[in-house]
Formats: sequence, structure tokens, C-alpha cells
Amino acid sequence: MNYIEFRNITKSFGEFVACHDVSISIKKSEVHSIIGENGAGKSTLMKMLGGIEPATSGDIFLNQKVYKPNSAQDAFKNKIAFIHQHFVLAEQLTGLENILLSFSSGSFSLKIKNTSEVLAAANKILSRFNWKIELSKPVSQLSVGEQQRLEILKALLQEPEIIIFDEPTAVLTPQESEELMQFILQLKRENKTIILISHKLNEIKSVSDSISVLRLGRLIQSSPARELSIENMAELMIGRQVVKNTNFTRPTEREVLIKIPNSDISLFQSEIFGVAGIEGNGQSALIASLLKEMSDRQIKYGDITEDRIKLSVFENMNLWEHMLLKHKNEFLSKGLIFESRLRKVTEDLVKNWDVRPVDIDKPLSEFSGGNQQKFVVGRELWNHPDALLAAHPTRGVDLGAQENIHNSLLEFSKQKKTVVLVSSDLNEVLYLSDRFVILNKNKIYGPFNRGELNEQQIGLIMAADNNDGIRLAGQL
Amino acid sequence: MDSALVLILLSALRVSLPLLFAATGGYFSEKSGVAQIALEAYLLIGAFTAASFTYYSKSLVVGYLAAAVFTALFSQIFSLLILKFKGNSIVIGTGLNLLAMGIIPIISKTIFNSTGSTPSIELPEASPYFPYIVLVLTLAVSFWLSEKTIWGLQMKFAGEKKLALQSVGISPSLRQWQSLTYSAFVTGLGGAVLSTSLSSNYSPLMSSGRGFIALAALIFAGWNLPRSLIVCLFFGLCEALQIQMQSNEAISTYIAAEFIQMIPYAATLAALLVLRSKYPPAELK
Repeated sequence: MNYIEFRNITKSFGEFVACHDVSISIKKSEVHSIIGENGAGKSTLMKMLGGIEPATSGDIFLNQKVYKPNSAQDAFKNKIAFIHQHFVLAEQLTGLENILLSFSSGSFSLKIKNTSEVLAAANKILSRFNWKIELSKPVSQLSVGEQQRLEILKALLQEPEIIIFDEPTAVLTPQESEELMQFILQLKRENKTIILISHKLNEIKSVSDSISVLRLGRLIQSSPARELSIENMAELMIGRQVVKNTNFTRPTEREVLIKIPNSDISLFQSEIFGVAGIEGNGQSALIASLLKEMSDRQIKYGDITEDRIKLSVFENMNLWEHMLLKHKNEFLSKGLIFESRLRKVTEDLVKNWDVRPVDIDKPLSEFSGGNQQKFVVGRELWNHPDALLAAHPTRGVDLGAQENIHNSLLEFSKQKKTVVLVSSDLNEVLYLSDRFVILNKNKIYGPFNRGELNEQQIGLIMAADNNDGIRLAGQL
Repeated sequence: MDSALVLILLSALRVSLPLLFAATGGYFSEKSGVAQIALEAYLLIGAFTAASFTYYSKSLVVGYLAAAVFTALFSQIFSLLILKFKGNSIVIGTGLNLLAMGIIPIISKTIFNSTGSTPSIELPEASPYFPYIVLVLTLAVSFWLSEKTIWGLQMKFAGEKKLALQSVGISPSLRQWQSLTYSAFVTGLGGAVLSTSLSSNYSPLMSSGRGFIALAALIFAGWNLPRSLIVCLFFGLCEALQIQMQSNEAISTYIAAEFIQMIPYAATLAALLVLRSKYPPAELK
């Protein structure tokens, strides 16, 4: 018997069709994963179930009955909880206050808050899962993992039957992710139905009973998890095989490019130097000091910043203006712009990097995140710098574009160049880096050579309160 | 205790009354995520309404009530422009301050045939404790609203995380509107104190920057109501001292009055630098 059924669901935003005739059946008490690249329509589909967006056409059946939610409240009432990727928490209010909010009603209410009752219920759930969250602390003082648990706790207090997790492990350490997966299995044992949206295929493989693959808004396949291998999933998601670059040998004699300030680490030419760690452990300080060092030494460098919207681009300027911004000396003479050359160069770049649509007069905001990022990477590498600082270069970028960016980083490093790769995605750091360091609380641990540590060991160093005995290379 | 000291403390409390009301009013607006620089206008409207109503009714209760209600009505312009038409709260707040300065003389001309001060109120029977009773009641209700009720929690979420409020099916604009209206209501009471208790009539621009002082107290005390009330009391103390110093011949012959009048403002500024805090409501605009 199917518990939740999407029947011929289509959702369009104006011209753009986010979901096209999607039909998926989900059984009771199973973990059903929905995978796909960015923009494949997985979040949109779940938002319809969560009452956040209505479907353009098609029906959702819940327990054999037509289910048409008009708001998140309706989903609530139908025992559906949505754990968002971006936490919906007020950071300056306490954990308890954030929980209390979900017990309030829409009508004007002066009723005194039933604090103690809610607190008791919350503590009961916390102890059931052996979690510790200080609910009296402001949310901003909780770790990301704790914030997520708070978000889950908030949902569980409403005693939902169906729980939707939208990319839940994107911000967690490997240990936290593993614990979350165990937690999902525990919920399943308690007869809850779990829908998991993710693109971390190994996690999906480990917990799912069924998997549905979406690509460009269409359902590609929906089948039991045991019938799919990780390679199959990746292939179905992007529609072709993923070619993993095999490693190549580095020249043995390499010249030192620069040293990382306040540490004893030298960066060599022809290498990719990884920086792993949970965000906010000193990445920004490290990037800032490296940038300063490079400009002091007049090393030509490209800079893929950690926050594209804030630091790299102006969303309402078009592509050739962005090109001009970064490489103004190439296109300016006596205050005049060589516009024809600028346009030609930008057009070539857009074609080389497969930025779509090919329209250099469009403002950047009209490009998808992945295309924006491809353009930024292309722009930063355009004048053949000696070093490239890449902070989270593939964040918010789909698998295809990710592969593309990874390959170009590898290619670039082969040309006697240095890449510093800062990423919170551990797999990315491990896959690309020749050597890497781990940041924890503004301390730099390492450097470690490729293969020196496994994922588990790295996760421990990333999350530990105390890393005595680990090679300490510097302090930020 | 020295009787002079007691007098200064009492007078400090007295002159800080309008500030305490305005800061409480401002708190509700700012906490719900709307920057409130129209407190000055609310004080003026409250002061004028109270003076007029008390003059005709000979009753402080009527005067205070009218001040609160009319100020709350006046604030609907602010709410409408900001919540419905998404205007910028600083621009509209400034506009409202100017509007209050302009509209009061027009009404005053119609009622009293004078664009300046209103006729003076004579209420020999009125209790000098009345404004304090109103203050205590206001503070108690405000504390209960913001800390004890679900409404208060929702109001804070409107200022901290709109999305969370929407996700439980509550419109942030609705809570903001209620909060803004309450804000004006309370600040209007402060205006009433100004014209009926601290003086005996309304005179033009009698708020003299108190709305801004209250706002500054609120901001620098980190949007924390009890702390901002303490800052207001401190300002009141400096103001009382300043008045004492001006009337003391030994001092006023050597220091120009302008410098003495500066003291409360300079001292508040200095105190605020020490107390400053960096956590505005996340969605404050």
C-alpha cells in the first residue's frame, strides 16, 4: 500500500518547468531518498508536499486521500514535518523560545506561554535520543550540529508521521553525519516515514530503502535501493558517466611559491594544497593572510571567493562588465574601454566554460548558481595567474559543473601553478589535494600528505576540542 | 539623607518620565523589526492631544487616554506606509516628525486661535502621583506582553526571523502592525506627561529631542528594555543636575548656560559608549 503518492505532478514558474509530470510512490515506514543535481526539482517537489508551494497540476495522495495543502500549517496538521537545509531559527533567541514558537497559533494570543510543559516534552525527546542541547542558550551559541538537532527537535515535538530532510548533512562533520544517519534509521524503526533529499550518494546508499532519481525536472527512475550502486546513481543523476580523474605524478623537484604567514608551511608550484575544516574555524583569516602575502610579493593570483554573491560579483551587472572589473588593465587605455576586444574575450570565455545561456549582456542574477560559478572560475583563470585561491569552488554547483571545475583545477596545477583549495566538503579536499591541512579553532594542523589520514581521522581532528599530539603548523 | 540629594533624585525621576515611556514604546517597534525614529512625533502629538483634552475636560485621565489613542491613530500613517507600501522606515519616520511639527500648529490655530502654546491647564485637585501610576502600569503591561505572552514571542520573531513566524502560519506584518500601534500608544502617554505633568500646557517642539534620546538609549543598551530604562534614568539625573547648576549662581556666573545645558547630552553619549551593544534584531530595517 502506498502511503504518499505523487501523481503526474507538474510545477512551473512562468516559462520554467521545475517538475515535469513526476509520479512517485512512497511506502509507510521507509526511508525514501530523492536524488538529483541542483535544479533537478527535488526541493520543489518536497515543497509541494510540505505545503510551501502548490502544484501547477497533478495530485498528491496521502493515505489514499487527495491531499491539497495551502500552507505549511496544513502540512503540519497532516503530520508532515519539513527540516529545511537552511535553519529557520532566530539566532538571538534561545533554543526554548524557538521551540515555543511552533506551539503558537495564528489567532491573536495573549495566552501565557506554557514554558514548563514544552520544556518537559523537549527534554523527554532529548533523552530518548541521548542528545544534549542547552535550550536556555541563544541559538547563535550552539554549534551547527546542535542547531540542526534543535530544528529536528522542533519538528519531533509536533509528533509527525512523515519527516522530510532537505540536504541535512551539507553542514555537518563526517561524525555528525554518521550520527544523523543512525538517527534516521532509529526514526524508521519507530515507524516514521522519512524522505531524504541529498546528493551525497554514499550516505543515501547506506540508509535508503528506495531511491528516486530526478534529472531536469523529470523522474528518471524510482527503485529499491539495493538495485542501485553508487555509480549507477551518479550516472542516472547527470545522464552520463562520471569520469574520475586518475592521479598523475608530480615533478619531484618543485619550487617554493610562498610560505603561509604565521606557520612553517611552504606552498609549492605544481600542487593543490587543501584546507579542510568546518566553516568558521579560521578559513577567512587564512585566506586573508594568503591574499595579503601574495599581493605583497606581487604574485599574480586568481581568487575564487568563499561567498560569490558577497565578494565576487554584482548581481545586476552583466558578464562583460564583470570581466572588466577583474581585468581592467587589460581593457582600459587612457580611461577608454576597448569594448570590442572585451566583448570578444568574454564571449570566448563563456563558450570555453560552457556558461549557459550564451548572452554576455544578461545580468548575472539571471544565471543559475552553477553557471555563475563557472563564469567566475573562468574569469579568475583567464590571465594565467601563478596561483589560484579557490574557496568552496563547487558550492551550490551541480555534479556536471563540479567535475568540470575539478578538472580545470587539476589541469591548472599541472602547469607549474599552485592551487589553494579551501573547502568544507571533505571529499573534495581528499580527492584533489596533494597535501592538506586541517583547521580547528584557528589552529592549523598538518600538513598531511595524500592518503596519510582516512576520513574518520580527519573528522576527529576537525571536530575535537583538543588536538594535543597532532602536528601543529601554525596559528591564525 | 541630605534633602538636596533627595530633591535632585526626585526631580531626576520626574524629568525622565517621558523618556521612560518613549523608550518602552520604541522597544516594541524596534523589537518587531521596524526602526522607529518617529518617537519624537509621537511625543509631540501625545503632548498636544493631552493638553487640549485636559484643558476642555479638566480630567487628566481623559487627557492621557486621548493622547494615547490619538497617537496610536496617527501612527497608522507610519504602519500603512511601511508595512503595506514597503517604505523605508527612516525616511518615513523623518517625514512623520516633520508632519507632526506642521500639523499641530494648524490644529492649534483652529481650536485655540494660536499657532504657539495652548492655554494653560489648571487642575489644583490632580494627584502628583498620577503619571507614576500610569508608568508603573505601562511597564507592567509591557513586560507581561513581551516576556510572558505568546504574542510577545511572536513579535520578537517578526524582528528576528520572519520565515520562522511564517512557517507557523502567522503574518509577520500583522504582528509588526500591532507592535507599532502599541509603541505609539505608549509613547503618546509619554507626551501626555510632558504637557500635563512636567508643564501646564503644550508649547511648540516641547519634546526637544527626547524621542531621539530614548531611541539612542534603546539602541546602545542593546535593545534590552530594563537596561535602556536605566540609561533614560541616567539622562534624567544629568538633566536634574543641570537644572540645579543653572540655578546655582556660583556656577552659572562662570560657565555659560549653553555649556551646562550640554551636560545631559554629553554624559548620556559617554555612558552609551561604555554600554554599547552589538546585537540588533536580525531583521531590523
